[in-house]
Amino acid sequence: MKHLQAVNQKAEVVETTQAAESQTSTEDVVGLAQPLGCTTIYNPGWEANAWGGVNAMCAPMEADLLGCANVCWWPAQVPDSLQNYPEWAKACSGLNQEDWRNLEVVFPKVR
Amino acid sequence: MDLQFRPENAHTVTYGGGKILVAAKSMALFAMDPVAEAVLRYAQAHPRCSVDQVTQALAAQFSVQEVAETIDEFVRLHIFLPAGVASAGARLPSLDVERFPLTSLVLNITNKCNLHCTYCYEPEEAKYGPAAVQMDLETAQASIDFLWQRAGKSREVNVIFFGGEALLNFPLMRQIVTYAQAKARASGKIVHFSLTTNGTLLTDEIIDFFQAHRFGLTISIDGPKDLHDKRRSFLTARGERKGSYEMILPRIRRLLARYTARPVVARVTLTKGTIEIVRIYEHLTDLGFFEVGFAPVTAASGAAYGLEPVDLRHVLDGFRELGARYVARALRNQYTGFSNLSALLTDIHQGTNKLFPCGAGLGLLGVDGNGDVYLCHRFPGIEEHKYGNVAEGLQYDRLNAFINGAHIGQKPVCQTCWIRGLCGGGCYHEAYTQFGDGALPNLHYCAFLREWTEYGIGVYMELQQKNPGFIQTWVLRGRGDVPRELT
Repeated sequence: MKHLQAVNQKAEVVETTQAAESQTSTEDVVGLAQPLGCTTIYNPGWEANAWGGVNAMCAPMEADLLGCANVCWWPAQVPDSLQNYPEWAKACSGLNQEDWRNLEVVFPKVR
Repeated sequence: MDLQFRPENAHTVTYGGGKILVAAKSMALFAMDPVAEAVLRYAQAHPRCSVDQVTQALAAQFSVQEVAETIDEFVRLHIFLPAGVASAGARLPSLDVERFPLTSLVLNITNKCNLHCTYCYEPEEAKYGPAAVQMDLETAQASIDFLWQRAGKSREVNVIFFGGEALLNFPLMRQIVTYAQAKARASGKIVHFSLTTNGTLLTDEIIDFFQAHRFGLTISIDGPKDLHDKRRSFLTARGERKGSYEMILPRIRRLLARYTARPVVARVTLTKGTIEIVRIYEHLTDLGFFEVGFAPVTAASGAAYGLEPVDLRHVLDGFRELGARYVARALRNQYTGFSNLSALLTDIHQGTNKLFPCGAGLGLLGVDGNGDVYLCHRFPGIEEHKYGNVAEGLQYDRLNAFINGAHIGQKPVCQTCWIRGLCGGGCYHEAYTQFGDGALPNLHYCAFLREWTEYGIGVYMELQQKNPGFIQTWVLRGRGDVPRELT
């Protein structure tokens, strides 16, 4: 803080927190005005189907990974399929619920 | 932007070297530059203003940017709020006490006492005669089990022995220590033991036992013989009062010579006529106590031994006098065992900002000889604050109701006070004794505590400026920062 100088430990904590916060936006949080990504699609593995069926639920995390990487990209930690691991999801057609079974295993490249 | 000045969040303390801003919402302390001082002065005179008005008023001395930056910093500290925004203290959390780990349990192992101190808050019937309860082994073990069940993931727990005079049930104390240490080994937790005693029953055997288990010891002693014997007396079978000082003196000397595991603390109860602070301090430290803590007596109004405002004034003057010695010695790197000031300096340094006055009901509970659980060790016998039994469990709905009702936000008078984060409204038992309601703030101490805190801030500033590091090395206590040997 420019015009106030911290004198006790709490003030130092306040200053550090304020400094960190001012790196990002200090505006109020505004709710997302439109649906994005996986909120627009039906992604089995998360949800009961339209008839209340649960047969698509309890998919393993690989299904989620694939769904996040291919169908709806969000920053899940999936292998880089553009440059380094193009084979990772090559065998997945993107058309059926069991696609995740065709994911490849990748290992980090040693430089 | 239109602003509202929140004076309850901005208090200035003037000390020898300058002025300090207490941002009371967080208990952060700041030194102000001239812009900040000017903006604050303007706000105090014009509590409803706009950024433009402030800027214009100060245009002759400070640039628009400087003023705007300062206002922004004050907004972050809730010293200004945008006009129309509700006061920032408004929202109260709803606490679930059951999710709080219990870390300290005070075991009232006997109600009996061999002294008849005139100011004792325990009722006569509880201490003497057939109604006096001695805790038995089964209840003690159930209490320890209860502590372990409720401690959750806490690595350390505290077992505190209390009474009556706890040493009247010393055999049980031994058994409890054995039992608790076995549980500690089995569970990987560390257990600490402490005791408050009147000192009349200390023997070599008992002292060696304390040494072996590193007990934290507090001796209740009110000062030199004339002051101590005024209230802390035996009652003979013939109904005569006989002071206990002569009896405890050799025992205390023996203790202080023989017990070296931890510093021993003297707890002084201040009553009418026994408030010679410096004299009491010097006497007790000459005896060999490491530290002296002064506690004004809890008295229902009208009690002969109670402290009136004129007495509290005298106490504060005594605290200042002792404080001056504390500072002089601190500048020579010598610690002074004046508990009250050390605790205050710790709170000021850390910016303690409490929502409750203490951990009673949350991290600490009291158990009486029957295994009944109370808010703390002062409440046995007060049905309203009995919350269950160690064997049968707690009535969390009732405890939650009390604790949530005791939150600082529930004390309207406290909302305008700049020390609310340090005080939290004050001791529940004190409030219960004075006003019949543990959730009320201790209004009879507000002026005292505000003045004491201002004084403490002055001491803090002086020490930080003239001997930086002293507080961190010697004063910070028992809240994780300080070597255990100094606590």
